[in-house]
Amino acid sequence: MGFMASFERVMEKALVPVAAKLNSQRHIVAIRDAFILAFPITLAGSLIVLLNFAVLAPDGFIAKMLFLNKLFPNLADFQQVFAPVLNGSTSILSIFIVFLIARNIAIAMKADDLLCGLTALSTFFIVYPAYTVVDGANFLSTQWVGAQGLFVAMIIGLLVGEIFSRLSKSKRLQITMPASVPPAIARTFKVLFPIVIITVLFSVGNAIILAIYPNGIHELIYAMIQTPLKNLGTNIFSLIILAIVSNLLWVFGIHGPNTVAAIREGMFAEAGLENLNYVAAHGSAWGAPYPVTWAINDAFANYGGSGMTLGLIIAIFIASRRKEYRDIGKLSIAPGIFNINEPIIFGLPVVLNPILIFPFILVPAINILIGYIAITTKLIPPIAYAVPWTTPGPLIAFFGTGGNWMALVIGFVCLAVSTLVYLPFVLASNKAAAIQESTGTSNNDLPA
Amino acid sequence: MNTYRIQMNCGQISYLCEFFSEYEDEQIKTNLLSSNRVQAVFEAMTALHGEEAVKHLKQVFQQSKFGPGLYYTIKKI
Repeated sequence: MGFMASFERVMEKALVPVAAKLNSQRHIVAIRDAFILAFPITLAGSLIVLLNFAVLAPDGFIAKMLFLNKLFPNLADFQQVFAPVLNGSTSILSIFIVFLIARNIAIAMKADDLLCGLTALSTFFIVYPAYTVVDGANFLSTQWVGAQGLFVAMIIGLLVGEIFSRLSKSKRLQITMPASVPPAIARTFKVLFPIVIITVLFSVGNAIILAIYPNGIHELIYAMIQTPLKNLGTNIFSLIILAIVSNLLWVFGIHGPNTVAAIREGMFAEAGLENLNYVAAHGSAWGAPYPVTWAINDAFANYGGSGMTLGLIIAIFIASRRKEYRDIGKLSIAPGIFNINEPIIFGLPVVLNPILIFPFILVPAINILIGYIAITTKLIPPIAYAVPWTTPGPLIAFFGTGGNWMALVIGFVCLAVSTLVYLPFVLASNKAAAIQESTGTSNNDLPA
Repeated sequence: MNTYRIQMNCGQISYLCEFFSEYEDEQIKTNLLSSNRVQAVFEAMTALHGEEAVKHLKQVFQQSKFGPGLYYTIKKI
């Protein structure tokens, strides 16, 4: 048995069950899906901030291109209209996350998801740092409702989701109302005891933590878990390793991005949000605090989809003389522009292809490195704006940096590099196909 | 009752073959027709319309033991 066959066997027998477990484990799925559900709100906030600075700022790239600043001299005045948008999105992300995680757990455990989510939200504020009184008025710090409070939100969402769902199933804890009582009221009484128990439990727990660590649970979790994980995530090696693992799983038929999603969010979410908050405050991505975030992968290493397969399609058009390759290339180019690569992944195929597997994993790693070098040498600013993943290739880098033209150039450099790396592998793959044809065997005809 | 040919693609096609060979529920019945390393073709007998049948198959596999972990496509041919 060859190396590739042994490797495939290991993936099939060992990794598929692990990936399946990870993708169906309710706590991991709850975290992953909570971020997925909150993403449109984050993205909307990011896009409006981008428009605010690109269109309405006198030095914005669209304003300059269309001479908007000359046509409308008071254009910048309108910026304040959209300035509060982030207050309702990334700045309160932890509130969304705590609610959604608890709700997702309740859905998985067939409990009352809405009341579970609300209980988690209530609990989040039970353990929240106390109000500060200034001139007789109460002020609640916003420090922990945004990116910095994400881990407490995740922990509370998971704990409340689990405790609520279990307790609410206990018949002894349910208050059953007569049939004449309206259903909405009967529903709330059914889970009243579990909510009281959770409230008491977390109040006491919070008091104990405050007695031991007076700065509170948020600072404790932030210092002990969130900061080390963030430091791990904002490291180029972690980024490359995570991209390699994700693409490696993908090429063996395992859903890589989903499998690593919960880890990825834990490592990169705060850094990405802090960068977005920075541009909202400063109007530019230059100087954003975290040069390394997962956004580098999307901006430079994901054109055409996982494995940067847009480079593969171009390499096919340049080098392949085989009709089936060129046909698949033609079929794949339109979805590939929008980073959808199923036609080429299964058409060539790329999955389980012993030749194309190497560039599929190598190209994104090289391009992440190119993007990283461009950012750290201050050739371009960090990728600070969230951009929809279906945005065509280099435009992600362009919009992600707030309209930096050099980022667009670097994006095209990455596309050229990916094409160059794929070229010899396309030629080798063509050669292998020709040999298989002449010997009457096909890689795909082997029994599954 | 409609009969469709359904193509499934996956790097771990054996898991789909195992699941859908002679699969049957209240809405659909499938039989494996052919398979290679990354692709399998099934015959599906169902009262559902084509796209609904595909959606149903995706849903049942996604809820199976290995479905959530795998990257696959299912389409009517």
